[in-house]
Amino acid sequence: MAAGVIKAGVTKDCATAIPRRRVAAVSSDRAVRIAAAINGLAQAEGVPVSIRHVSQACADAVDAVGVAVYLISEFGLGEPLYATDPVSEHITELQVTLGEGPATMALEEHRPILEPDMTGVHAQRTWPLFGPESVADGVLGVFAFPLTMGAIAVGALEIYRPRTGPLSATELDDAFVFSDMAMQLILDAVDDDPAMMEATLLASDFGLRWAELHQAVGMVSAQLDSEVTTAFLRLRAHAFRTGRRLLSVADDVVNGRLRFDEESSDDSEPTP
Amino acid sequence: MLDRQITQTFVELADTLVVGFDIIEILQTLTERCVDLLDVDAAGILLVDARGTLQMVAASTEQARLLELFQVQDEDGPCLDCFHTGEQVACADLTTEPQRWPRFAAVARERGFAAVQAVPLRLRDQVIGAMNLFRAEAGAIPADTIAVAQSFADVATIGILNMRALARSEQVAEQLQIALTSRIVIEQAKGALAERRKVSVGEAFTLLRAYARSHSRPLTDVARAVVNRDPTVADLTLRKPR
Repeated sequence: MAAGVIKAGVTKDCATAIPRRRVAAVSSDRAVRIAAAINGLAQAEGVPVSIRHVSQACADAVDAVGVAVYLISEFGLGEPLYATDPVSEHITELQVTLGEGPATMALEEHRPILEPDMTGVHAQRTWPLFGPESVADGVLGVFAFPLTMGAIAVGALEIYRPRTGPLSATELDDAFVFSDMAMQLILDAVDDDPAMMEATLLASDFGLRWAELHQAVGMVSAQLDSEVTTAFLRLRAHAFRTGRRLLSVADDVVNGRLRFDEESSDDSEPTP
Repeated sequence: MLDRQITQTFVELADTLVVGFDIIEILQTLTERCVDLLDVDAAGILLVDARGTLQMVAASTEQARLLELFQVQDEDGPCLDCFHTGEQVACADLTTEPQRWPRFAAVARERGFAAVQAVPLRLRDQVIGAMNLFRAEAGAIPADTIAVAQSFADVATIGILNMRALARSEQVAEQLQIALTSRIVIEQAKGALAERRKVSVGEAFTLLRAYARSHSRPLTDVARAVVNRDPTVADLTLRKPR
Protein backbone atom coordinates (compact mmCIF):
# COMPACT_ATOMS: atom_id res chain seq x y z
CA MET A 1 0.00 0.00 0.00
CA ALA A 2 1.07 3.55 -0.70
CA ALA A 3 1.66 6.50 1.64
CA GLY A 4 -1.22 7.04 4.02
CA VAL A 5 -1.38 3.44 5.23
CA ILE A 6 -2.89 3.51 8.68
CA LYS A 7 -2.08 0.79 11.13
CA ALA A 8 -3.84 0.22 14.42
CA GLY A 9 -1.90 -1.33 17.23
CA VAL A 10 -2.32 -2.08 20.87
CA THR A 11 -0.16 0.06 23.10
CA LYS A 12 0.03 0.13 26.86
CA ASP A 13 -0.85 3.30 28.68
CA CYS A 14 1.76 3.32 31.42
CA ALA A 15 -0.21 5.57 33.75
CA THR A 16 -3.24 3.31 33.95
CA ALA A 17 -1.84 -0.01 32.67
CA ILE A 18 -4.98 -0.53 30.60
CA PRO A 19 -4.38 -1.79 27.07
CA ARG A 20 -5.41 0.99 24.76
CA ARG A 21 -6.14 0.79 21.10
CA ARG A 22 -4.85 3.66 19.12
CA VAL A 23 -4.99 4.36 15.45
CA ALA A 24 -1.42 5.08 14.44
CA ALA A 25 -0.39 6.81 11.24
CA VAL A 26 2.78 5.54 9.65
CA SER A 27 3.30 8.18 7.02
CA SER A 28 1.97 11.44 5.55
CA ASP A 29 1.04 14.62 7.40
CA ARG A 30 -2.62 14.18 6.56
CA ALA A 31 -2.74 10.74 8.13
CA VAL A 32 -0.90 11.97 11.24
CA ARG A 33 -3.33 14.82 11.67
CA ILE A 34 -6.36 12.59 11.19
CA ALA A 35 -5.07 9.88 13.52
CA ALA A 36 -4.47 12.54 16.17
CA ALA A 37 -8.03 13.82 15.82
CA ILE A 38 -9.50 10.33 16.17
CA ASN A 39 -7.25 9.35 19.06
CA GLY A 40 -8.03 12.64 20.78
CA LEU A 41 -11.74 11.89 20.82
CA ALA A 42 -11.19 8.42 22.22
CA GLN A 43 -8.77 9.60 24.86
CA ALA A 44 -11.16 12.33 25.96
CA GLU A 45 -13.71 9.59 26.67
CA GLY A 46 -11.11 7.29 28.14
CA VAL A 47 -12.13 4.41 25.89
CA PRO A 48 -10.55 2.42 23.08
CA VAL A 49 -10.88 3.87 19.59
CA SER A 50 -14.09 2.80 17.84
CA ILE A 51 -16.05 3.53 14.70
CA ARG A 52 -17.85 6.20 16.69
CA HIS A 53 -14.67 8.28 16.98
CA VAL A 54 -13.73 7.83 13.35
CA SER A 55 -17.22 8.98 12.31
CA GLN A 56 -17.28 12.00 14.61
CA ALA A 57 -13.77 13.13 13.67
CA CYS A 58 -14.71 12.78 10.00
CA ALA A 59 -17.84 14.90 10.46
CA ASP A 60 -15.73 17.60 12.14
CA ALA A 61 -13.02 17.51 9.48
CA VAL A 62 -15.28 17.88 6.43
CA ASP A 63 -17.77 20.26 8.02
CA ALA A 64 -20.65 17.80 7.80
CA VAL A 65 -23.91 17.65 9.70
CA GLY A 66 -23.32 13.94 10.23
CA VAL A 67 -21.52 10.76 9.16
CA ALA A 68 -22.65 7.14 9.08
CA VAL A 69 -20.85 3.84 8.58
CA TYR A 70 -22.46 0.76 7.06
CA LEU A 71 -21.32 -2.84 6.91
CA ILE A 72 -22.44 -5.05 4.07
CA SER A 73 -25.11 -7.49 5.19
CA GLU A 74 -26.69 -10.61 3.88
CA PHE A 75 -29.28 -8.93 1.70
CA GLY A 76 -26.43 -7.26 -0.19
CA LEU A 77 -27.39 -3.96 1.37
CA GLY A 78 -25.49 -1.97 3.92
CA GLU A 79 -26.39 -2.63 7.53
CA PRO A 80 -25.99 0.65 9.39
CA LEU A 81 -23.34 0.24 12.03
CA TYR A 82 -23.16 3.72 13.47
CA ALA A 83 -24.46 7.21 12.78
CA THR A 84 -23.34 10.37 14.54
CA ASP A 85 -26.80 11.90 15.10
CA PRO A 86 -30.54 11.29 14.68
CA VAL A 87 -30.76 12.83 11.21
CA SER A 88 -27.95 10.58 9.97
CA GLU A 89 -29.65 7.60 11.58
CA HIS A 90 -32.79 8.43 9.67
CA ILE A 91 -30.91 8.74 6.37
CA THR A 92 -29.40 5.28 6.80
CA GLU A 93 -32.77 3.88 7.73
CA LEU A 94 -34.23 5.44 4.59
CA GLN A 95 -31.63 3.76 2.41
CA VAL A 96 -32.35 0.35 3.86
CA THR A 97 -36.11 0.94 3.61
CA LEU A 98 -36.02 2.23 0.06
CA GLY A 99 -33.16 0.06 -1.15
CA GLU A 100 -31.47 2.96 -2.88
CA GLY A 101 -29.09 5.80 -2.14
CA PRO A 102 -25.45 6.84 -2.46
CA ALA A 103 -24.03 4.35 0.06
CA THR A 104 -26.08 1.56 -1.49
CA MET A 105 -24.71 2.48 -4.91
CA ALA A 106 -21.16 2.84 -3.58
CA LEU A 107 -21.39 -0.71 -2.24
CA GLU A 108 -22.77 -2.08 -5.47
CA GLU A 109 -20.31 -0.30 -7.74
CA HIS A 110 -17.22 -0.34 -5.50
CA ARG A 111 -16.52 3.35 -6.10
CA PRO A 112 -17.15 6.64 -4.29
CA ILE A 113 -20.54 8.17 -5.06
CA LEU A 114 -20.40 11.94 -4.61
CA GLU A 115 -23.64 13.86 -4.83
CA PRO A 116 -23.20 17.57 -4.14
CA ASP A 117 -26.86 18.41 -4.79
CA MET A 118 -29.71 16.14 -3.76
CA THR A 119 -32.17 18.73 -5.11
CA GLY A 120 -30.70 18.52 -8.61
CA VAL A 121 -31.86 16.57 -11.65
CA HIS A 122 -29.13 13.95 -11.40
CA ALA A 123 -29.99 13.01 -7.81
CA GLN A 124 -33.73 13.01 -8.40
CA ARG A 125 -33.32 10.78 -11.43
CA THR A 126 -30.82 8.41 -9.81
CA TRP A 127 -32.65 8.07 -6.49
CA PRO A 128 -36.28 9.04 -7.14
CA LEU A 129 -37.38 7.73 -3.76
CA PHE A 130 -34.40 8.58 -1.59
CA GLY A 131 -33.67 11.99 -3.12
CA PRO A 132 -36.77 13.84 -1.93
CA GLU A 133 -36.64 12.17 1.49
CA SER A 134 -33.05 13.25 1.97
CA VAL A 135 -33.92 16.83 1.03
CA ALA A 136 -36.92 16.73 3.37
CA ASP A 137 -34.48 15.82 6.16
CA GLY A 138 -32.32 18.82 5.31
CA VAL A 139 -29.48 16.78 3.84
CA LEU A 140 -28.54 18.33 0.51
CA GLY A 141 -25.04 16.93 -0.07
CA VAL A 142 -24.31 13.20 0.33
CA PHE A 143 -20.87 11.63 -0.26
CA ALA A 144 -20.43 7.88 0.07
CA PHE A 145 -17.12 5.99 0.13
CA PRO A 146 -16.94 2.20 -0.06
CA LEU A 147 -14.72 0.51 2.51
CA THR A 148 -12.68 -1.76 0.33
CA MET A 149 -9.94 -4.33 0.60
CA GLY A 150 -8.68 -4.85 -2.89
CA ALA A 151 -11.61 -6.06 -4.95
CA ILE A 152 -13.97 -6.50 -2.02
CA ALA A 153 -16.26 -3.90 -0.46
CA VAL A 154 -17.23 -4.65 3.13
CA GLY A 155 -19.07 -1.44 3.93
CA ALA A 156 -19.38 2.26 3.31
CA LEU A 157 -18.77 5.59 5.00
CA GLU A 158 -21.32 8.27 4.16
CA ILE A 159 -21.02 12.02 4.75
CA TYR A 160 -24.07 14.31 5.04
CA ARG A 161 -24.02 18.05 4.51
CA PRO A 162 -26.84 20.56 5.04
CA ARG A 163 -25.97 22.57 1.94
CA THR A 164 -25.30 21.89 -1.74
CA GLY A 165 -21.76 21.97 -3.07
CA PRO A 166 -18.93 19.44 -3.52
CA LEU A 167 -16.32 18.41 -1.00
CA SER A 168 -13.15 20.47 -1.44
CA ALA A 169 -9.98 18.72 -2.59
CA THR A 170 -8.70 18.64 1.00
CA GLU A 171 -11.99 17.34 2.35
CA LEU A 172 -12.06 14.66 -0.32
CA ASP A 173 -8.52 13.54 0.52
CA ASP A 174 -9.44 13.53 4.20
CA ALA A 175 -12.54 11.46 3.51
CA PHE A 176 -10.43 8.76 1.83
CA VAL A 177 -8.14 8.60 4.84
CA PHE A 178 -11.10 8.37 7.22
CA SER A 179 -12.49 5.53 5.11
CA ASP A 180 -9.15 3.74 5.34
CA MET A 181 -9.13 4.20 9.10
CA ALA A 182 -12.66 2.80 9.38
CA MET A 183 -11.56 -0.15 7.26
CA GLN A 184 -8.53 -0.75 9.49
CA LEU A 185 -10.64 -0.72 12.64
CA ILE A 186 -13.06 -3.19 11.14
CA LEU A 187 -10.16 -5.41 10.03
CA ASP A 188 -8.66 -5.36 13.51
CA ALA A 189 -12.01 -6.17 15.05
CA VAL A 190 -12.33 -9.23 12.87
CA ASP A 191 -8.98 -10.48 14.13
CA ASP A 192 -9.86 -9.81 17.76
CA ASP A 193 -11.76 -12.08 20.09
CA PRO A 194 -15.57 -11.81 19.87
CA ALA A 195 -15.92 -9.62 22.98
CA MET A 196 -13.54 -7.02 21.57
CA MET A 197 -15.31 -7.17 18.24
CA GLU A 198 -18.60 -6.39 19.92
CA ALA A 199 -17.03 -3.41 21.67
CA THR A 200 -15.50 -2.01 18.52
CA LEU A 201 -18.24 -2.63 16.07
CA LEU A 202 -21.57 -3.60 17.39
CA ALA A 203 -22.37 -2.02 20.74
CA SER A 204 -24.06 1.25 19.90
CA ASP A 205 -27.71 1.97 20.61
CA PHE A 206 -28.29 2.28 16.92
CA GLY A 207 -26.84 -1.17 16.35
CA LEU A 208 -29.13 -2.65 18.98
CA ARG A 209 -32.17 -1.17 17.26
CA TRP A 210 -31.14 -2.86 14.03
CA ALA A 211 -31.07 -6.11 15.96
CA GLU A 212 -34.77 -5.52 16.56
CA LEU A 213 -35.31 -5.27 12.82
CA HIS A 214 -33.81 -8.73 12.33
CA GLN A 215 -35.94 -10.11 15.15
CA ALA A 216 -38.99 -8.61 13.45
CA VAL A 217 -37.97 -10.23 10.18
CA GLY A 218 -37.77 -13.59 11.97
CA MET A 219 -41.17 -13.09 13.57
CA VAL A 220 -42.83 -12.10 10.32
CA SER A 221 -41.25 -15.07 8.53
CA ALA A 222 -42.83 -17.32 11.17
CA GLN A 223 -46.17 -15.52 10.94
CA LEU A 224 -46.22 -15.92 7.17
CA ASP A 225 -44.41 -19.27 7.20
CA SER A 226 -42.11 -17.80 4.56
CA GLU A 227 -38.44 -17.19 3.80
CA VAL A 228 -36.77 -14.30 5.63
CA THR A 229 -36.22 -12.41 2.39
CA THR A 230 -39.98 -12.33 1.82
CA ALA A 231 -40.53 -11.24 5.40
CA PHE A 232 -38.00 -8.43 5.02
CA LEU A 233 -39.63 -7.21 1.81
CA ARG A 234 -43.05 -7.23 3.47
CA LEU A 235 -41.80 -5.18 6.42
CA ARG A 236 -40.12 -2.77 4.11
CA ALA A 237 -43.21 -2.46 1.92
CA HIS A 238 -45.32 -1.72 4.99
CA ALA A 239 -42.95 1.03 6.11
CA PHE A 240 -42.82 2.47 2.63
CA ARG A 241 -46.56 2.37 2.15
CA THR A 242 -47.48 3.87 5.52
CA GLY A 243 -44.64 6.41 5.48
CA ARG A 244 -43.45 5.08 8.82
CA ARG A 245 -39.88 4.46 9.84
CA LEU A 246 -38.66 0.92 9.33
CA LEU A 247 -37.23 0.60 12.84
CA SER A 248 -40.50 1.85 14.28
CA VAL A 249 -42.45 -0.78 12.33
CA ALA A 250 -39.97 -3.39 13.56
CA ASP A 251 -40.48 -2.26 17.13
CA ASP A 252 -44.25 -2.68 16.72
CA VAL A 253 -43.79 -6.20 15.38
CA VAL A 254 -41.41 -7.26 18.14
CA ASN A 255 -43.79 -5.92 20.78
CA GLY A 256 -46.82 -7.64 19.28
CA ARG A 257 -48.60 -4.47 18.13
CA LEU A 258 -48.35 -5.42 14.46
CA ARG A 259 -48.76 -8.82 12.87
CA PHE A 260 -48.41 -10.08 9.33
CA ASP A 261 -50.65 -13.12 9.42
CA GLU A 262 -52.39 -14.14 6.20
CA GLU A 263 -55.74 -13.08 7.67
CA SER A 264 -54.69 -9.61 8.76
CA SER A 265 -55.62 -6.66 6.56
CA ASP A 266 -52.03 -5.42 6.45
CA ASP A 267 -51.15 -8.19 4.07
CA SER A 268 -53.48 -7.29 1.28
CA GLU A 269 -51.02 -4.84 -0.21
CA PRO A 270 -48.60 -6.11 -2.84
CA THR A 271 -44.92 -5.32 -2.38
CA PRO A 272 -43.74 -2.31 -4.40
CA MET B 1 14.68 -12.51 -32.04
CA LEU B 2 16.00 -13.01 -28.53
CA ASP B 3 14.68 -9.61 -27.49
CA ARG B 4 11.22 -10.49 -28.70
CA GLN B 5 11.25 -13.74 -26.77
CA ILE B 6 12.40 -11.94 -23.66
CA THR B 7 9.63 -9.39 -24.10
CA GLN B 8 7.17 -12.22 -24.60
CA THR B 9 8.29 -13.75 -21.31
CA PHE B 10 7.55 -10.47 -19.52
CA VAL B 11 4.10 -10.45 -21.05
CA GLU B 12 3.52 -13.99 -19.77
CA LEU B 13 4.73 -12.98 -16.33
CA ALA B 14 2.33 -10.04 -16.35
CA ASP B 15 -0.42 -12.66 -16.26
CA THR B 16 0.48 -12.99 -12.57
CA LEU B 17 -1.17 -9.63 -12.05
CA VAL B 18 -4.48 -10.97 -13.31
CA VAL B 19 -6.86 -12.69 -10.92
CA GLY B 20 -7.19 -16.41 -11.35
CA PHE B 21 -3.78 -17.31 -12.66
CA ASP B 22 -1.95 -20.44 -11.54
CA ILE B 23 1.22 -19.40 -9.79
CA ILE B 24 2.96 -22.77 -10.02
CA GLU B 25 2.24 -22.98 -13.71
CA ILE B 26 3.71 -19.53 -14.32
CA LEU B 27 6.84 -20.19 -12.27
CA GLN B 28 7.33 -23.49 -14.05
CA THR B 29 7.11 -21.71 -17.38
CA LEU B 30 9.57 -19.11 -16.11
CA THR B 31 12.21 -21.75 -15.35
CA GLU B 32 11.78 -23.18 -18.83
CA ARG B 33 12.06 -19.73 -20.42
CA CYS B 34 15.28 -19.08 -18.52
CA VAL B 35 16.77 -22.24 -19.97
CA ASP B 36 15.57 -21.34 -23.49
CA LEU B 37 16.69 -17.72 -23.46
CA LEU B 38 19.55 -17.22 -21.00
CA ASP B 39 22.11 -19.82 -22.06
CA VAL B 40 21.82 -21.81 -18.85
CA ASP B 41 21.16 -25.53 -18.53
CA ALA B 42 18.70 -25.64 -15.68
CA ALA B 43 16.70 -23.33 -13.40
CA GLY B 44 14.80 -23.84 -10.15
CA ILE B 45 12.67 -21.65 -7.88
CA LEU B 46 12.16 -21.77 -4.11
CA LEU B 47 9.34 -19.86 -2.38
CA VAL B 48 8.80 -19.31 1.31
CA ASP B 49 5.41 -20.51 2.55
CA ALA B 50 3.06 -19.05 5.15
CA ARG B 51 4.96 -20.78 7.96
CA GLY B 52 8.30 -19.38 6.83
CA THR B 53 9.53 -22.65 5.33
CA LEU B 54 11.24 -22.63 1.94
CA GLN B 55 9.57 -24.90 -0.60
CA MET B 56 10.73 -25.88 -4.04
CA VAL B 57 7.95 -24.88 -6.38
CA ALA B 58 9.32 -25.16 -9.91
CA ALA B 59 12.32 -26.47 -11.84
CA SER B 60 13.15 -26.86 -15.49
CA THR B 61 14.52 -30.39 -15.18
CA GLU B 62 14.35 -33.25 -12.75
CA GLN B 63 17.99 -32.66 -11.86
CA ALA B 64 17.44 -29.06 -10.91
CA ARG B 65 14.40 -30.15 -8.94
CA LEU B 66 16.52 -32.59 -6.96
CA LEU B 67 19.12 -29.95 -6.26
CA GLU B 68 16.57 -27.48 -4.96
CA LEU B 69 15.10 -30.14 -2.73
CA PHE B 70 18.53 -31.00 -1.48
CA GLN B 71 19.24 -27.38 -0.62
CA VAL B 72 16.09 -27.04 1.34
CA GLN B 73 16.56 -30.26 3.26
CA ASP B 74 20.14 -29.59 4.17
CA GLU B 75 20.20 -25.84 4.64
CA ASP B 76 23.22 -25.50 2.42
CA GLY B 77 23.43 -23.87 -1.01
CA PRO B 78 23.46 -20.66 -3.05
CA CYS B 79 19.65 -20.36 -3.22
CA LEU B 80 19.41 -20.45 0.57
CA ASP B 81 22.18 -17.86 0.99
CA CYS B 82 20.41 -15.73 -1.57
CA PHE B 83 17.11 -16.00 0.29
CA HIS B 84 18.62 -15.26 3.69
CA THR B 85 20.64 -12.26 2.49
CA GLY B 86 18.28 -10.97 -0.18
CA GLU B 87 21.31 -10.52 -2.45
CA GLN B 88 22.45 -12.22 -5.64
CA VAL B 89 24.83 -15.12 -5.02
CA ALA B 90 27.10 -16.76 -7.60
CA CYS B 91 29.73 -19.38 -8.03
CA ALA B 92 31.46 -19.65 -11.39
CA ASP B 93 33.12 -22.97 -10.62
CA LEU B 94 31.91 -25.21 -7.85
CA THR B 95 35.11 -27.30 -7.98
CA THR B 96 37.26 -24.33 -6.92
CA GLU B 97 35.19 -23.43 -3.86
CA PRO B 98 34.32 -26.78 -2.26
CA GLN B 99 34.18 -25.31 1.24
CA ARG B 100 31.46 -22.82 0.39
CA TRP B 101 28.56 -25.26 0.19
CA PRO B 102 30.24 -28.62 0.60
CA ARG B 103 27.29 -30.94 0.29
CA PHE B 104 25.42 -28.92 -2.31
CA ALA B 105 28.58 -28.63 -4.46
CA ALA B 106 29.15 -32.38 -4.34
CA VAL B 107 25.61 -33.18 -5.42
CA ALA B 108 25.63 -30.47 -8.09
CA ARG B 109 28.82 -31.81 -9.63
CA GLU B 110 27.42 -35.31 -9.53
CA ARG B 111 24.40 -34.08 -11.48
CA GLY B 112 26.66 -32.42 -14.02
CA PHE B 113 26.46 -28.77 -12.98
CA ALA B 114 29.60 -26.66 -12.57
CA ALA B 115 28.36 -23.08 -12.22
CA VAL B 116 25.46 -21.55 -10.36
CA GLN B 117 23.75 -18.13 -10.06
CA ALA B 118 21.01 -17.27 -7.59
CA VAL B 119 18.79 -14.18 -7.76
CA PRO B 120 16.37 -13.17 -5.02
CA LEU B 121 12.59 -12.91 -5.43
CA ARG B 122 12.45 -9.63 -3.61
CA LEU B 123 10.41 -6.41 -3.38
CA ARG B 124 12.08 -3.78 -1.21
CA ASP B 125 12.41 -5.39 2.24
CA GLN B 126 10.44 -8.49 1.47
CA VAL B 127 12.28 -11.57 0.21
CA ILE B 128 9.83 -14.31 -0.70
CA GLY B 129 12.22 -16.80 -2.31
CA ALA B 130 15.01 -17.23 -4.82
CA MET B 131 15.71 -18.50 -8.32
CA ASN B 132 18.75 -20.63 -9.15
CA LEU B 133 20.33 -20.85 -12.60
CA PHE B 134 22.69 -23.77 -13.33
CA ARG B 135 25.30 -24.34 -16.02
CA ALA B 136 27.13 -27.52 -16.98
CA GLU B 137 30.21 -25.58 -17.97
CA ALA B 138 32.23 -23.61 -15.43
CA GLY B 139 32.46 -19.86 -16.01
CA ALA B 140 30.73 -16.75 -14.70
CA ILE B 141 27.24 -16.13 -16.03
CA PRO B 142 27.32 -12.79 -17.91
CA ALA B 143 26.04 -9.67 -16.18
CA ASP B 144 23.29 -8.94 -18.70
CA THR B 145 21.97 -12.49 -18.37
CA ILE B 146 21.83 -12.02 -14.62
CA ALA B 147 20.05 -8.69 -15.14
CA VAL B 148 17.35 -10.29 -17.27
CA ALA B 149 16.93 -13.12 -14.79
CA GLN B 150 16.59 -10.59 -11.98
CA SER B 151 13.95 -8.68 -13.94
CA PHE B 152 11.98 -11.88 -14.51
CA ALA B 153 12.22 -12.58 -10.79
CA ASP B 154 11.11 -9.03 -9.93
CA VAL B 155 7.97 -9.24 -12.05
CA ALA B 156 7.11 -12.66 -10.66
CA THR B 157 7.56 -11.33 -7.12
CA ILE B 158 5.13 -8.48 -7.65
CA GLY B 159 2.60 -10.89 -9.07
CA ILE B 160 2.92 -13.30 -6.15
CA LEU B 161 2.67 -10.56 -3.50
CA ASN B 162 -0.33 -9.09 -5.28
CA MET B 163 -2.05 -12.46 -5.35
CA ARG B 164 -1.34 -13.04 -1.66
CA ALA B 165 -2.66 -9.61 -0.68
CA LEU B 166 -5.83 -10.31 -2.57
CA ALA B 167 -6.22 -13.74 -0.99
CA ARG B 168 -5.78 -12.28 2.46
CA SER B 169 -8.27 -9.52 1.83
CA GLU B 170 -10.79 -12.04 0.54
CA GLN B 171 -10.24 -14.11 3.64
CA VAL B 172 -10.81 -11.17 5.95
CA ALA B 173 -13.85 -10.01 4.03
CA GLU B 174 -15.24 -13.53 4.33
CA GLN B 175 -14.57 -13.59 8.08
CA LEU B 176 -16.31 -10.26 8.45
CA GLN B 177 -19.26 -11.45 6.42
CA ILE B 178 -19.54 -14.59 8.52
CA ALA B 179 -19.35 -12.67 11.79
CA LEU B 180 -21.96 -10.20 10.68
CA THR B 181 -24.25 -12.79 9.10
CA SER B 182 -24.10 -15.01 12.19
CA ARG B 183 -25.28 -12.15 14.29
CA ILE B 184 -28.14 -11.42 11.92
CA VAL B 185 -29.23 -15.07 11.74
CA ILE B 186 -29.27 -15.36 15.51
CA GLU B 187 -31.51 -12.29 15.79
CA GLN B 188 -33.82 -13.65 13.10
CA ALA B 189 -33.98 -17.00 14.89
CA LYS B 190 -34.87 -15.28 18.17
CA GLY B 191 -37.80 -13.60 16.44
CA ALA B 192 -38.94 -16.70 14.56
CA LEU B 193 -38.77 -18.89 17.67
CA ALA B 194 -40.51 -16.25 19.81
CA GLU B 195 -43.38 -16.30 17.33
CA ARG B 196 -43.57 -20.08 16.99
CA ARG B 197 -43.35 -20.84 20.67
CA LYS B 198 -45.32 -17.75 21.76
CA VAL B 199 -42.61 -16.59 24.11
CA SER B 200 -40.61 -13.38 24.46
CA VAL B 201 -37.50 -12.77 22.37
CA GLY B 202 -35.35 -13.11 25.50
CA GLU B 203 -36.92 -16.47 26.36
CA ALA B 204 -36.48 -17.58 22.75
CA PHE B 205 -32.75 -16.86 23.02
CA THR B 206 -32.55 -19.00 26.16
CA LEU B 207 -34.32 -21.85 24.35
CA LEU B 208 -31.95 -21.57 21.40
CA ARG B 209 -28.88 -21.74 23.58
CA ALA B 210 -30.20 -24.62 25.66
CA TYR B 211 -31.03 -26.57 22.51
CA ALA B 212 -27.60 -25.90 21.02
CA ARG B 213 -25.92 -27.11 24.23
CA SER B 214 -28.01 -30.23 24.68
CA HIS B 215 -27.59 -31.23 21.03
CA SER B 216 -23.91 -30.21 20.93
CA ARG B 217 -24.52 -28.03 17.90
CA PRO B 218 -23.09 -24.54 17.37
CA LEU B 219 -25.60 -21.81 18.17
CA THR B 220 -25.31 -20.33 14.68
CA ASP B 221 -26.15 -23.71 13.12
CA VAL B 222 -29.27 -24.08 15.23
CA ALA B 223 -30.26 -20.49 14.45
CA ARG B 224 -29.84 -21.10 10.74
CA ALA B 225 -31.92 -24.27 10.94
CA VAL B 226 -34.71 -22.43 12.74
CA VAL B 227 -34.70 -19.61 10.18
CA ASN B 228 -34.65 -22.05 7.27
CA ARG B 229 -37.60 -23.96 8.75
CA ASP B 230 -35.45 -27.09 8.84
CA PRO B 231 -37.44 -30.11 10.06
CA THR B 232 -34.46 -31.33 12.10
CA VAL B 233 -35.22 -28.65 14.70
CA ALA B 234 -38.97 -29.27 14.73
CA ASP B 235 -38.69 -30.36 18.36
CA LEU B 236 -37.46 -26.85 19.14
CA THR B 237 -39.92 -24.83 17.06
CA LEU B 238 -43.17 -26.72 17.59
CA ARG B 239 -45.44 -25.06 20.06
CA LYS B 240 -45.69 -27.21 23.15
CA PRO B 241 -49.19 -28.19 24.30
CA ARG B 242 -50.16 -26.76 27.68
